[in-house]
Amino acid sequence: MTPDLVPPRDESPAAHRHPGLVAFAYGYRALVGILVALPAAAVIGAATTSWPHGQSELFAPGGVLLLESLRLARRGIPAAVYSGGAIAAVALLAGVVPLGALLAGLGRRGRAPLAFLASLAAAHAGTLALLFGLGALAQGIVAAVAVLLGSKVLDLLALASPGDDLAFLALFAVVLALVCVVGVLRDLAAVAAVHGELRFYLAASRALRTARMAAGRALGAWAWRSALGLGGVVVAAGLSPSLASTTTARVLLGVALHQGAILGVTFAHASWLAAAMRLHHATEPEAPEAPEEPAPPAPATAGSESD
Amino acid sequence: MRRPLEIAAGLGLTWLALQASGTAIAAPTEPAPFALDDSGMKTAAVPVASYTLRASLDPAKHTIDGKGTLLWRNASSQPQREVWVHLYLNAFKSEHTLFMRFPGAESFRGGGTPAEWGNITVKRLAIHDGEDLWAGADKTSPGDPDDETDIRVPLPAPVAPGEEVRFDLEFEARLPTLLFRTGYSDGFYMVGQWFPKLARLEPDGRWAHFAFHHLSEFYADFGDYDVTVDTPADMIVGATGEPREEVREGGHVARRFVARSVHDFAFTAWSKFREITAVGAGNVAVRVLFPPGYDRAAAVERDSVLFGLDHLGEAYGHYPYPTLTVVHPPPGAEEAGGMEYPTLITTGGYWWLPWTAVPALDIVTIHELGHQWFYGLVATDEHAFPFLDEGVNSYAEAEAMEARAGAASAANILGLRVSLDAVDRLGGVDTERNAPVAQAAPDFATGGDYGGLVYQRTAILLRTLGNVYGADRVRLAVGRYARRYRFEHPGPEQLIEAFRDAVGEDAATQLRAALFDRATVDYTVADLTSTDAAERGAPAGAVGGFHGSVLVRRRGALRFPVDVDMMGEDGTVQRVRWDAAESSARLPYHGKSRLTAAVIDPEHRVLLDDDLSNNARRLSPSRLSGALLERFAFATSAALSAVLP
Repeated sequence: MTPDLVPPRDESPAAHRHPGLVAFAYGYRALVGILVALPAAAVIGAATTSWPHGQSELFAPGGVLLLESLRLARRGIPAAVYSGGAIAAVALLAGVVPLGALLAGLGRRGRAPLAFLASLAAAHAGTLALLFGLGALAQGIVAAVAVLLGSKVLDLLALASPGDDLAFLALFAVVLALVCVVGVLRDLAAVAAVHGELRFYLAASRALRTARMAAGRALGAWAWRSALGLGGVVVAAGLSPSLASTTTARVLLGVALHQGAILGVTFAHASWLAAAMRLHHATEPEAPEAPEEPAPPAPATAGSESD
Repeated sequence: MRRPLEIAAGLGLTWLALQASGTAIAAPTEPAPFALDDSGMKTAAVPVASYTLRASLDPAKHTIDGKGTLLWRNASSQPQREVWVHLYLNAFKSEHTLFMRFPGAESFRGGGTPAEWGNITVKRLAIHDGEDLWAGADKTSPGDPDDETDIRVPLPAPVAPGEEVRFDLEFEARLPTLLFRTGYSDGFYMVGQWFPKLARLEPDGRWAHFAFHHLSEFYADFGDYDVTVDTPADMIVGATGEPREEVREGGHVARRFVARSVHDFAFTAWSKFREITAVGAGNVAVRVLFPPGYDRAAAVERDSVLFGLDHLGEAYGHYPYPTLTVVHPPPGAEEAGGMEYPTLITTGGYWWLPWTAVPALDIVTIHELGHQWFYGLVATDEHAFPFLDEGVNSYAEAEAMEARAGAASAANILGLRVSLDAVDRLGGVDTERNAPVAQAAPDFATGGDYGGLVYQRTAILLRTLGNVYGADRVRLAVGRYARRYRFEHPGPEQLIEAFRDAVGEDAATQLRAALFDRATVDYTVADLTSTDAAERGAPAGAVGGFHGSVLVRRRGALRFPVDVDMMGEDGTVQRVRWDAAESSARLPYHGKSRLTAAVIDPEHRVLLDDDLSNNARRLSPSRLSGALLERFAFATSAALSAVLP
């Protein structure tokens, strides 16, 4: 990469200054969603391919054709789940590349060339994969330990229903929160890896430092953006037009609502990563003071005292 | 009996579908020309087997000491030299009993092995003040040395038709840990089938006796029950019948319950019960007993009972008893749930169910309440023909829930309404070739067959008859049957006869074939074609437009007339009626535009139809719906957003 083509680092990155990158990340999510959903949609919709109104028949009140479709699709559903699952697994693995590109682009001022983004994404793919793999493992361990300890405590409390159910719900919320905290740490490490150009161990250390110095800000920055993204999805799901009477306008309205929500989630994620970068900078260890340069030796003169 | 939450579980997959609303399936909208009234309906049974018992519950030993008398009348036409006594509790005596040997025991109505076995020991059975007859009784069920649930007791002298005999009874019932409706769990007691119970004597002098099988329920003669339940004073008791005296003495309470014209008696006892009450149609005192924290669930059940007493009473004759007790078993005692006894039903389910999209509490409550008619009042033989109680009652449940919740009788998930008919179709169609519907409970190979055929196929069969021949006519048939045979122990022929009377010969023929002969039906559109008359060189002056036909087929022995919609390219729909008398027919089409699609039975009136995917055909099938894929993709993208890097 020719050095003059590399945009300068952005000390205060923001997602809204990179709509192209957000669109790219959204495109990846949307594509993965379609690919994963395709087998299931095909299998479940197969029963109504000959019906005049197609799959909108599935959603008629009473659900007779819907349950009939599920009944007839039983043999195909495992195949759809396996193939959809396999696509999702590949998408998860491959997802480190678009993430690397997103992180690389967010951390630069202006529009970064594609080749630059690609090279940085490729360069950090290994570290990011390691971070996400070990992050998932850590999330699993944290969740398991929390569930075990929480269950022990609940057993000791010996609550009666409905108190026991509410306590389990609270435990679930705690476990979910802990898993999210680990996720936040992982994201901070990913930022450090790409934005700070660090390898796995140093990136993880750097994430811990950021967390130690700005835990509240990091969690807050992640939490409100995630809540907004989730809220958008819930609202979009709730406002979705019925599929019982499919018209082009209704389908388009549904597409706009749903894809708008997914775009919103993607933007919230990018915005969080940009915030994580700002935190990365804010908690950067101060550079050690450069030692004072020794004064140039005075020209030797006759009769000098230095001697 | 219906397993609590089976509907909720059956609907889990519907989350794959997203929310919807909009066009309605047109229900038959006929006037109601058929009146049902209770005039001439019997108000009480002629007692045949009446029990006066005192039951003392010992919570330390989990036993019930029972003592009392049984007044029995030989209501048959034949003198009797023996009586048959059912000791149902002995089904839980060991893993070798007929009940416990059933291979599919854990797949239907709960099961497993109890931590503590239960049994009943008869200490004395004698003709009043006479010699003990129990020593001379058979020790085991006929032909089964490991089972002691069906015992023959020889009598010292024949009992002539119409003659009455008073027996003295003394027994100890040892309750198992809660298993299959009966037993105890953490201080909660559900006490059913706990006393030596006389089998029913049919009018022809044949005893309808049977060893207790996992898939079987019960059958007995009507009588008057006068039972005093003695428990520790802190226990709250709910029981069959009307509460009368209550005597407190030495840390115990003896409560007397009296029930007329019933054929069983059950009770529950627990110190932690909460209680709400209400008054239902006909001044029925409704009492709901439930665990702490289940207030909302109890309120839902109370409301369902109030609705049901009114609705079911109108449909099948008024509820004749002064009380109805609803028991919601506590967590850990789920196996006591979803069961019916005279004037006492048990429900079940989680405390949070009222806040979900599935009205599981309403469904289980309405179902068990329906058994007050189809089991309680129309006391059919649940062993020989279980479809007459569970199946007809599942029809009554679907009909009542439709009246209560419309198309969302099974679920309303974000506007996506799912009916009990759709749910019942799943099992009812899947099992259709496995066995006849009308057969004895032990003849079903698995619990799945029993559930699919007895409950669900019977329900969709009667609902199909209603959809095809008129819902009011079928209501009239079942309503007349329920009224005419109240307290009469009818069989399948009486049900079919009621359909013949109210709905017609054709319906009765289909009903019989579907019940006894495994008859099925599958409608299909095999082909459709049309051509432009002008292109075919029609002579000048001939009628123009498109001419063609739709080839429709009926596979299977069942035959219901159906509608066929023929759709033109210009959006017009022509509806014709096909009587389906032949197994296939080519229905002519004449229209202004090309025939593009055809649908047979577009409103899914024939719920028995094997396969609905072949009920339609169109010239250009849609291989994949963009709308459905988009919904699925949205759901997937949203879910993956939580885990994608």
